[in-house]
Amino acid sequence: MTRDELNDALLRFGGKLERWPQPERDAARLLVKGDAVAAKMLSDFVAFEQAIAEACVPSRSARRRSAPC
Amino acid sequence: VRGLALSFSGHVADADDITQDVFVMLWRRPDAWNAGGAAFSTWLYRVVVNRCIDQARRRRLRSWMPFGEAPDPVDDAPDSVSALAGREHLAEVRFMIRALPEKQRVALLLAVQGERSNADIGSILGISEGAAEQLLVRARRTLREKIKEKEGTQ
Repeated sequence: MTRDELNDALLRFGGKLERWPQPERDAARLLVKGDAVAAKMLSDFVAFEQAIAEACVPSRSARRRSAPC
Repeated sequence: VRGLALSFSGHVADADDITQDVFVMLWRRPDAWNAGGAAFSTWLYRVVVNRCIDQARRRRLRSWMPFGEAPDPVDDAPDSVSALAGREHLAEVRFMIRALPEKQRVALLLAVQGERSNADIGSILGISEGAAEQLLVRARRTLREKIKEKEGTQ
């Protein structure tokens, strides 16, 4: 897997590697193990998805009165 | 059901209407779900998504009418999650998510909130797995670019 392919797979499957199809998951794990730039791409994407998830979680007050996304 | 409706619509009143509508339908027509078809959760998500899209269309239509409803009040109560992670930043991300096209937004919410697989999302939306992936790719790419752009200006 190349960095470009990793980027494509992140956009398709998201940042949780355990939810990827087996071949892509294995290839991604191999890439990030030996490539610091790829590892940073993965951690940046996980942080990006975390921000989305946090933005989508209704707070207690939002659950009662307003909405997150 | 209400969580997805709330996240999609951005309006408590709409989310409550959708939730009530879905459960009344389930109460009146318990046979609406066919056990031989899609899994119950997939079918239920599909019902909720369709209601969300219908409600959004009705809201857009009402906004063009002369006696359109007043907007929901802004949530100004303390929000611990937002406060910890940067309230303004999360508010901006929420705004960006709401600006996505409907189907991209639904696909993203199903992936992030519902933790549904791409195949499930395709089934819920009545499209192929590949088409669901394309919705997710566009949604994530757009959001990532907008967030980067925003961070670059700060």
